[in-house]
Amino acid sequence: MQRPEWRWSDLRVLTVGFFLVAAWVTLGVRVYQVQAVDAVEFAQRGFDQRIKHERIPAKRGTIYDREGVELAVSVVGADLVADPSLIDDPVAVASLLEPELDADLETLSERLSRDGRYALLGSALRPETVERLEQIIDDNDVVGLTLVPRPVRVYPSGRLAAHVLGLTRLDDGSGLEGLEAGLDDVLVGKDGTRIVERDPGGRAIPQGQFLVEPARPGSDVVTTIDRQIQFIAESAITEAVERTGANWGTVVVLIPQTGEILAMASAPGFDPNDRRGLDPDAIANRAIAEVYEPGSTLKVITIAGALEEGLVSPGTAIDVPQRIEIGPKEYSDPSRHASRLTVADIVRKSSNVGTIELQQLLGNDRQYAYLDAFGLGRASSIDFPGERPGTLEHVSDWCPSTCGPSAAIGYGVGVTPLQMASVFATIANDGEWIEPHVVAEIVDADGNSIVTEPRRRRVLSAETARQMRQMLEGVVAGGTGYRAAIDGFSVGGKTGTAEKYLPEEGIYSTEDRMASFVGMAPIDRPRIVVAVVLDSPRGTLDDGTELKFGGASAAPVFAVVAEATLNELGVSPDLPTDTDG
Amino acid sequence: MTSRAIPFPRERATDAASPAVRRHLPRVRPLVVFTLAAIIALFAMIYARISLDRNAFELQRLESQIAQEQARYWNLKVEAAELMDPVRITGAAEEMGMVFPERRVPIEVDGITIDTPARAIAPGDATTTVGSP
Repeated sequence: MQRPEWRWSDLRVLTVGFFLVAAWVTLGVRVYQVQAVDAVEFAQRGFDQRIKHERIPAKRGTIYDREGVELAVSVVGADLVADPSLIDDPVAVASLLEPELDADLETLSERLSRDGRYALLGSALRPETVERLEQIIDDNDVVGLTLVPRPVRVYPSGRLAAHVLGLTRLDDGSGLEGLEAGLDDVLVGKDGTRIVERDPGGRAIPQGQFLVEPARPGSDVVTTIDRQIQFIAESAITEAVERTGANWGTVVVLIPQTGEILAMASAPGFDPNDRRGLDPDAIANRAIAEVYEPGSTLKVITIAGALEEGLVSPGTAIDVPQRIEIGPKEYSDPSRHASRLTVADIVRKSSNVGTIELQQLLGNDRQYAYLDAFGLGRASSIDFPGERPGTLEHVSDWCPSTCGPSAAIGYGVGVTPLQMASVFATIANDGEWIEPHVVAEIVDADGNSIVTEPRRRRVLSAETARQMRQMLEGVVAGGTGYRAAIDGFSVGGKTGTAEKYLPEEGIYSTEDRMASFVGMAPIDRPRIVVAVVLDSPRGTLDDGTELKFGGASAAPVFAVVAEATLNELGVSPDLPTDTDG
Repeated sequence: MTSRAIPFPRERATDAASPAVRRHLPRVRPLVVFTLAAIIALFAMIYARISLDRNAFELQRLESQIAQEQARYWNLKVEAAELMDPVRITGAAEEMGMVFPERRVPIEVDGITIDTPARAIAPGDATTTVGSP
């Protein structure tokens, strides 16, 4: 049999056939591998590409004033991000955006010109800014800009109560200062999770995998702050700081019977909505963060202690020289007075020597016990985690001769303005100390309300407190605090003028003083206590009185704030007014 | 030869169907029914799927709308709070030429009790105050 003739075409057919078979076999093997061997892995990989785990941010709780008006609210704002690779003219785009953003033209241009595909141009932008930016982007057909929605903290009243409310961080929205920081755990809530199956375009696939664990909003906080009174206090202290050239000033207004803080204002202030050029010093809540030697306002503790112990009565007269030597120190009275003064006179004239004599009667141990009972040396309130405790050394660490006398007239003891307000509130509240507080109520997402009762303790008898109030009334009626008088109301209080300690130099300033006035009204049943502190006021009044004295600079602020507060609270005058004729 | 009745033609026609036809008839009818049912079921499933998808889109739209309305609600709350800001109101009042009164004017109103003990005012002469500092 003859073999068929070999032809080139056969070889081509065989070759093509071989490759076709090989290709099909390879394809088959691959299909088998994909569909059978690695099927689970590939299915999972595809599933992972479609499934998106998305965080649902919890809405941060709202902070309200005592009337339910929002002081701090979280709203939906946005971050503005750019893809610089899509921006043709960075300078032109920057000039469009610059009026709406915190950054200047140069910074924006630099960010829009940099390499890469991501540049953050604006963070935590408020809704109205987002709206304007959307308009700008649409009107000018700008490409490469994206507004990414995110929660933004807004303070509708701007500067009002900013020191009390504090700040949140711009990046993660957590509390940074004030109540925002102190109650961060309560306000923050719990983020939720959304698992959703999306198509390559980012759209949710209907009937796809979908699982939602909803976010739990943070609790709302209702404060004791009264916006009207807060505004009055802020206006008054700001004006006083500007007028006197003081470094800073602060006012605390509280209700003595409940410990509720109606206003807590500091100057200089700040606007938490506007972080541009924010001065870190302006953020400090001076009412709780400043520790100072109070001077004469602290005399009330020693005198109240002497009355409570039955050592003296308001009418007890004692010999009071102009100066007295105790150990290595000489203490003197700034103004001349009669050689024999009653205890009421000592308060009215703010006699250092007379107060020291009463301290000598009381003794260091009992004096310390009263200083401690009034709450000095420890934070007054749980609402302010940043509150400084002040300084009160234990009596066992006191020097034997001068520590007690110095403490009696307000030196060697460091207090905060809030602590001093609390001391006078104790006298106003018939001798019972009540924890000053600014949080009235916490309401969780389910509407459950948590009200924390303020701590209480008795420090003085009601009778001693009443006697103290009568003596404090004399300070305003005919003593150093006469500028604190309010038409139509009986007012009691105490001036304080303390030499300012300069820690860097370790000496007391010869020029600067801590000027203060703490008082209450109406005196029989005080409805409010107001504490005013100014750091280093300067200048003189028209009558030549130096503003460095508490009676000249702080007492008038008290009068303005107390009068407006009594009016706001609807408290009726307890004295005839000038208009009564 | 006996006579036989002539069968009724209609019955006869029926009965006269061939065995092949008889075998086919019962097979064709269920198939048609099944096919029709399958088509109807298919369309029903498609319709249900479309409805579900449509509802899912509607649900998404509603959720989005809820989120928008909630955002709008809070924006309005913020706006209201900003309008109630004493700083803004005071500024607006001053622009309108309003001033703080230099002195409060207490007005005595009979029959209104006061909670602050009166000192120099005779009991029963109840007062309330108007005006601002």
